[in-house]
Amino acid sequence: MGTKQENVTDDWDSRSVGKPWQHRFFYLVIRYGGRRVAYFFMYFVVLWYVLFYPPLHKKCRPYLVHRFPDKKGILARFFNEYRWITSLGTSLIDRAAFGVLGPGSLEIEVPERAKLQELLLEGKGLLILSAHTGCWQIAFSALQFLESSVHIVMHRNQYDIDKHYFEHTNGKAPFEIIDPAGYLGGTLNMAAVLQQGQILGLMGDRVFGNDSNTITVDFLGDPICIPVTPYRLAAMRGTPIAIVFSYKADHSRYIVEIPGVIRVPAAVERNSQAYLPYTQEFIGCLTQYVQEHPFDFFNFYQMWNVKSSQNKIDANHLKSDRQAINP
Amino acid sequence: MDIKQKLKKVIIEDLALEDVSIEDIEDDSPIFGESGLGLDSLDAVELVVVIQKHFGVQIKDMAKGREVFQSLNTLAAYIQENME
Repeated sequence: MGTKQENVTDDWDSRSVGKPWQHRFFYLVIRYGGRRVAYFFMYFVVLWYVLFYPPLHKKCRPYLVHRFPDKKGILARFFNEYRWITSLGTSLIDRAAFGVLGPGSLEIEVPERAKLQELLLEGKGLLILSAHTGCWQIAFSALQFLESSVHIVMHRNQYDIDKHYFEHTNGKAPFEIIDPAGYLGGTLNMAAVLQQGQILGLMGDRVFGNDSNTITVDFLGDPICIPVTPYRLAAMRGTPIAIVFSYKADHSRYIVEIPGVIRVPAAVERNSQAYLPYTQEFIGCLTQYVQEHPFDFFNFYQMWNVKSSQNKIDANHLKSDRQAINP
Repeated sequence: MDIKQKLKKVIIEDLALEDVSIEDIEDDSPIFGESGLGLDSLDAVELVVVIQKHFGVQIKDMAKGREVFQSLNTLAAYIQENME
């Protein structure tokens, strides 16, 4: 019953990179020097890691090999690693600056905000499905215009030392946090949020812990495992799923885009296979995103560590599944 | 059919538990996890939908979830208490 992946990857963890003093150093630089000065230091720190920290190559290689299959030379790989890690460093500095210097330090635009408002007005709650792109935390903070409670599913690893941006002030977080390590993975809390017509934010690109509710889909040419949870939750009441990604448009501006809306019919369906068409929609948008913003996607681990692919479906089978679910 | 029997029937049918009969489900065994019915965390969400659909009972206070979903007995007791 259900389709479970035998070998769910456990190669990622949310532990912070670097020592506590290194993080405190950057917070001080941001506070007294601003973002640009922090970026300056960051470029050298990243260079050091890229040159002298071999485990970093192992973390970077899976995604870069899949996204840039033609860039096989050492110099090309070095350049891409450096560019990717500095992009992450920029995102982390921006996130910290948002807290240390205040929201005015960065501009967050949501050009399609009306779309989100319309979806919320349907009265079935709203599921925001995102991925580890751009600066997702401050992107979620930009959803306050919706004037509804926003709940984000987020786990804080015990070894995490870098602060969420709202931890730099004494202010309350702009969203409620649901811990997937809680009772039944927090699913009852997630369901309650949607039942009350509120907003639930989830990541669709990573599997948490040993969650067996996963499905295999092709991403950049090879299968990966992603969670089925968002789609099963949406199916509870037919909640619309808004795919939301963010990227850095220029020095001080992030754009929050909504590349798609997924409609999962209200139904009780335990078989993960039934959700394949919807996961394909999400992955399609994510694929488009990494084509346009390759260095704004931050999964530094072996996403393609899928040893068995029970859910391999060819194009014809996918078409018949889609027809069965959407007659 | 009493509440427990009906609850077992709808769980089996609506959650499509193959090869499970009403007699297989013990009243005091855990609902979630491998030692009981083998339902997982997302099944909890679907169970909430099933209960609302067949008994008209909403589990509004999800904080009570741990208590309510301990076993079929606790779930049936909650439904009995909250049925209109």
